[in-house]
Amino acid sequence: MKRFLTAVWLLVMVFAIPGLAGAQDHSVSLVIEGETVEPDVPPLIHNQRTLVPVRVVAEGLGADVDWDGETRTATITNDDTILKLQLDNPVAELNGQRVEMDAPPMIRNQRMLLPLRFVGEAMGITVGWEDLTRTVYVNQTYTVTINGEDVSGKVKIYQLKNEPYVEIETIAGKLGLDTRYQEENRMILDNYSENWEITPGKPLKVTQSSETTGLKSKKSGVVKQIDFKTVVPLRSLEDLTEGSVETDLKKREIHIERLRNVEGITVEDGVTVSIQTSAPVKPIDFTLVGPHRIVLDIPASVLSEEFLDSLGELEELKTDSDNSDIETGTKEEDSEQANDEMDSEDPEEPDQSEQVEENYEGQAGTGSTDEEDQKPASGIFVLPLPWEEEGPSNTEVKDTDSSSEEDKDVVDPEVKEQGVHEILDNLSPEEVIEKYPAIREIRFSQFEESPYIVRVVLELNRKSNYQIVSDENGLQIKLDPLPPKLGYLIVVDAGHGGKDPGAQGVSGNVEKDFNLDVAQRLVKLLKQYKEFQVVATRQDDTFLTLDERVQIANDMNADLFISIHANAYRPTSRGTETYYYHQRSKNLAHVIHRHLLNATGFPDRKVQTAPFYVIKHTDMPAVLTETGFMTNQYENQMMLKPEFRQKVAESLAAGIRDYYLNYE
Amino acid sequence: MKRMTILVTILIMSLSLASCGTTGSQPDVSPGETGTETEQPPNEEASEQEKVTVYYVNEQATDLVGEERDLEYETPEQKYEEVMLLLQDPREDGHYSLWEAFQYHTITLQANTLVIDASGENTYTFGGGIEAMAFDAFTRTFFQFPEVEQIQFTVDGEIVEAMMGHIDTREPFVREESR
Repeated sequence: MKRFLTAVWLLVMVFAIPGLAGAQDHSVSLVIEGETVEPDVPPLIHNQRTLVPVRVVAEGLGADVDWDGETRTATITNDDTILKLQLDNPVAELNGQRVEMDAPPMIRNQRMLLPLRFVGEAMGITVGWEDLTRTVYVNQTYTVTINGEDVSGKVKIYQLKNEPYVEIETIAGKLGLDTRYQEENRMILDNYSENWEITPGKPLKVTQSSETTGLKSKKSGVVKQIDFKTVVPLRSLEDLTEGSVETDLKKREIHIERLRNVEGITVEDGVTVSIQTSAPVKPIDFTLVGPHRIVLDIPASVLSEEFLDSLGELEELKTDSDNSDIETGTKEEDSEQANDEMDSEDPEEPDQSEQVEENYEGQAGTGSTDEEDQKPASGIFVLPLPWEEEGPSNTEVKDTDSSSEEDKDVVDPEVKEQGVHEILDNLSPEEVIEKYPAIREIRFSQFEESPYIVRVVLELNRKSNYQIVSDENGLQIKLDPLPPKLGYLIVVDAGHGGKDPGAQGVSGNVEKDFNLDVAQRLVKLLKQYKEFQVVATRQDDTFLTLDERVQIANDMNADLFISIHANAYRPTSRGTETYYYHQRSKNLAHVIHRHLLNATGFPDRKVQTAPFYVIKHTDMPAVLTETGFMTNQYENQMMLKPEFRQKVAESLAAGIRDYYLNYE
Repeated sequence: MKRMTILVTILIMSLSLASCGTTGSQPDVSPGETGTETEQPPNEEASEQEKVTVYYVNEQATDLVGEERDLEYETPEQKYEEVMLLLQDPREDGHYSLWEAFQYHTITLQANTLVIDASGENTYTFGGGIEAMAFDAFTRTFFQFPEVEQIQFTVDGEIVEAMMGHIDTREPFVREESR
């Protein structure tokens, strides 16, 4: 009945307003703390701003107003706020600061009118405009928390005549609920058991329910639009969010809680991981490379105490954090490596072939959000994997973790890879998929506590497509590991040759010889892997133009190009550097450089970019290495040694292998 | 064909250079080019003076180091030659030029491309990494001038794939690409 009346009333309003328009263009209703107020001089709209008499401000907002007739200045005081407004002056003074406003105070019927929203918001009061009814709502601002996070001011609560209304979209977002617009105003909110249709001017409606009993009757209410945002009655909030809403209208406090427990993570088989949750959840997922990882962020969720208890002795990767997962502060140097994937994303684009949630793309791509929050709120746990019980590889990995020092990478891929090596080398590709598990490690943490987010990271041994299935029990992640790329074609380019000797060494040696020897050693090493095809641009002391080298790689549609060089400058110049040009080669350059630098032990001249002909014009990931300086006595002497050349070649092979396994 | 075009362009340039020399400080505007603006501020006197940052390398050639230098020239054409002289001659201790011994025929602005025609006699003794620094120093220095949008190296009037052996000179350096 009431709803019917409201509908009728709305209808009347719709027709009434155009009719009024001619006569009373500026008619505005004013509702303060839910009560209609009719001041002797009615509010008027000027420059799209509502102006109200001083008395309204004084009484309605509970502020003191002093009027100085001489300077024509109103001084409004409320707690710690002092606001001075002068007649016709568009610049006000707020706590001593000059503030501009759209509509300056003005005189109408011998009453000074003040800009309501400006004054109200300066005083920390909520002001809202309902366009449909041309009503201004004014009320004290509510304290609002969502899962313990104070969002007062971000989520507006308007005191309408009968009840408070709340802005729904921000709340839904904070709770990780999906909202989307079907038409301009028709919003669909998905709380994972029901879909709600929320349209201003209409009652709330359930459009889809997972419950077999059909659509249950809900405490309904009419949706409105205030400040051009969708607002719903406060009493509907529990139904809409499936959360708990505690309201203290006297204290003007609203506490909204909707947390899902993550109750367990289990590995069903080599390619399926289940995450049990207390109610349906919708994770945000993205992928990272180097090594391949799938990251799931479960919004508005906590690791349940039972789950944490069941982990018992399970070692947290964090070394010095105590066992309290409630503690939020963690030290900077907390096992930097171990935490790496858990929080700091590689600044690489997520792989496009795998699905990346749209609203998360920015984060996965730039890592910007994560940079703000480098550390998870609690420790990171590593889930024991069923197939690792007797295998030594797991412990091996962990040892590496804790012992490696500055290296940004979580786990030294070289060591990690050794396990992979032996197995992969002796098996057919099909056997590799079958016998060598796709999942390398599963980590999880209470990633954030404000808002609550549980992060689960699946680190993979090889690239996989995946599917996430969400049901009332939680999530299932089904991996579809891609077979190792076969016929991976690597072009090895020994710089210079023939009439072009390259740089001169201090012992009368020439660069072309060093380059060729290392290249030939590298070719031999790479050929040991049956999934690699290896081509050398030159196999002897031949001259090739730079373009001929490029054409060899491009014509064969190679997957990777590496050009081997040595540097020359002053006798004191030293160091190893690796160059790339195109963005697509950046990962390769960093991986190669790490291995190469480790082998040479020369000063680190870092990964650099430069338009070298051979890496600029090749169409695949391409790098050029400058092993060391032939003009430096020591480095040249090293580069003349066969053992050193072998070591360099091995490091390049390991780098290529590392890249192939963890990035391709 | 391309080589031909460049030779012709250079010929035209040197002719216009000669004619400009007689008319004093008249700005060089290549014929038939659209969007070409006068690259010199209007001046009353015969000689121009401005500040320019010239880039060299540190002792290990791991970083570029800049020096603010006075640039003086009488005709616009002289400007780039003067910069070349500065580029070959660092003033501060610990600053090294990688262009010290560089010989070239001409350095001219054609439309918005600075064309440096190097001598084929040059030998370059440094390795690829140092060569990268040399081009960095060069391009950083010359891209300071807003009229220079591209830099093209030629050797005895011809475009070559890599003037110094490693870095691409087949395509011009473009301002956006300069790193």
